Amino acid sequence: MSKTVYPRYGSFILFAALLLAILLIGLPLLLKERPSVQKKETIEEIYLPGYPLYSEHVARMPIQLFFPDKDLQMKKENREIYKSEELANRLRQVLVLLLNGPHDEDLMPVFPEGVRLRELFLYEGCAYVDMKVPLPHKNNMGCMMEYLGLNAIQESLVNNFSEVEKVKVLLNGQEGETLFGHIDTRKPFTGEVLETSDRNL
Amino acid sequence: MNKEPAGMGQAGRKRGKRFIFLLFVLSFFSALMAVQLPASSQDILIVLDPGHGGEDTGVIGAGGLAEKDACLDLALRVKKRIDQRLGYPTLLTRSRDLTLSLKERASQANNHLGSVYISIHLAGFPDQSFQGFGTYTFDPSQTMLFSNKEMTPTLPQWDAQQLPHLESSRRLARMLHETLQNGLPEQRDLGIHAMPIYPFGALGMPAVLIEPAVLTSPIQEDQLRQVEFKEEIAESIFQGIDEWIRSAYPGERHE
Repeated sequence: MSKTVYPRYGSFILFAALLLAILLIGLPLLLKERPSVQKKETIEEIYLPGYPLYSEHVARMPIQLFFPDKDLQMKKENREIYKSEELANRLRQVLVLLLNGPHDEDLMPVFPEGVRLRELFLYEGCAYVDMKVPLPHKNNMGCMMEYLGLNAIQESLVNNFSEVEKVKVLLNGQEGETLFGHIDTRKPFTGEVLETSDRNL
Repeated sequence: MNKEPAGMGQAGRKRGKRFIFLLFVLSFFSALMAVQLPASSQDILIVLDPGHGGEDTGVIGAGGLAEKDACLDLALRVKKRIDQRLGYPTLLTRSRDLTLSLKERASQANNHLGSVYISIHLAGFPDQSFQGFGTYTFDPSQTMLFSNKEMTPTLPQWDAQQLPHLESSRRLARMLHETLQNGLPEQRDLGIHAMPIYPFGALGMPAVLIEPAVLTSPIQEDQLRQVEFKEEIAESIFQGIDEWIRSAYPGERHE
């Protein structure tokens, strides 16, 4: 009798031990993933207007956003932001409004839905704008629209804040060659047209 | 004591002289042929770059047409015309659905000593009513790719190869744009623009990027599925290339 029972118990114990080992190794990994997901969501929340880019008790200030019109010419749209104590927070508000799109129906939004501000910081006159682009290779942005989008960011920041001289756009937390496959983003945008350039085509 | 080497008698010396004479005659004629042939006809290589590819779909129309496929289709139609009517060699940066970095495209064109580089893309705008065609050429303005008036590159010299060709690229852009205007009279003209296109700074030849239609427009997406419209675009691009070769290489045999 015992000869037939013991091996069955043995295989059961072996199976249970294996299951326990998998749980012991896998569970900490699963638990480790969870906080990073929550953290990502929190980072996105920060850049929604309202928290903590400004306090509602502070005064508002006028700014001008730049969007292309149907003739592909850059046009200004007057808007307001809260006058946050930290300059970077004012810049962040400008970018959030810019990415949300224009109010004027004759103007065009500059980036497709889903493109968001990930982070923005200012260093030695250069605003580093880190864009969160979900699928950089699957966006409906042609060469012209990509160019207009980068110009809209640069003009909206440089024209509103004398502290910003140039704008460097980053893609998903790192330097990229382009945002959507057309325009060179390796160096900051100044908006300055070189004397050697003949732009009258 | 001046012993002749074995096998080098009177007859051997004669054979040697004949051989040297034959070599001289051969090299003379080959040099003559090289001089007689116009250097340019050997040099012309038209590089066609169908935009995007592989994982990089580019713009996707509302009906599902991907920019990468439409661009390849158009490039193949242009190549066919060049093969049949001009006979100059063409280099396609990709001839199938392939993921290819922008740097690799420029590298291919430079390594094969391309004479002209035409990148074919399609436009995308957030406004679906937007239609038309546009032509783009390289300009380092607005970025810090070059540090001053002397145009010292702030990136490796590899990125400054387009500088001697800026004027030729603009001429090419004007010619191509004009043939698009003539070939697509019903379409809206979105203009010629100069901008810091990547990796055009690295291209050692006249280069343009064209967007002959807007894929985010459902109307134009339908048109891009029709052979007739694609043929009109390909013919316009071909005409622009042909015109540019005529002006850049005068005296060449043409269609």
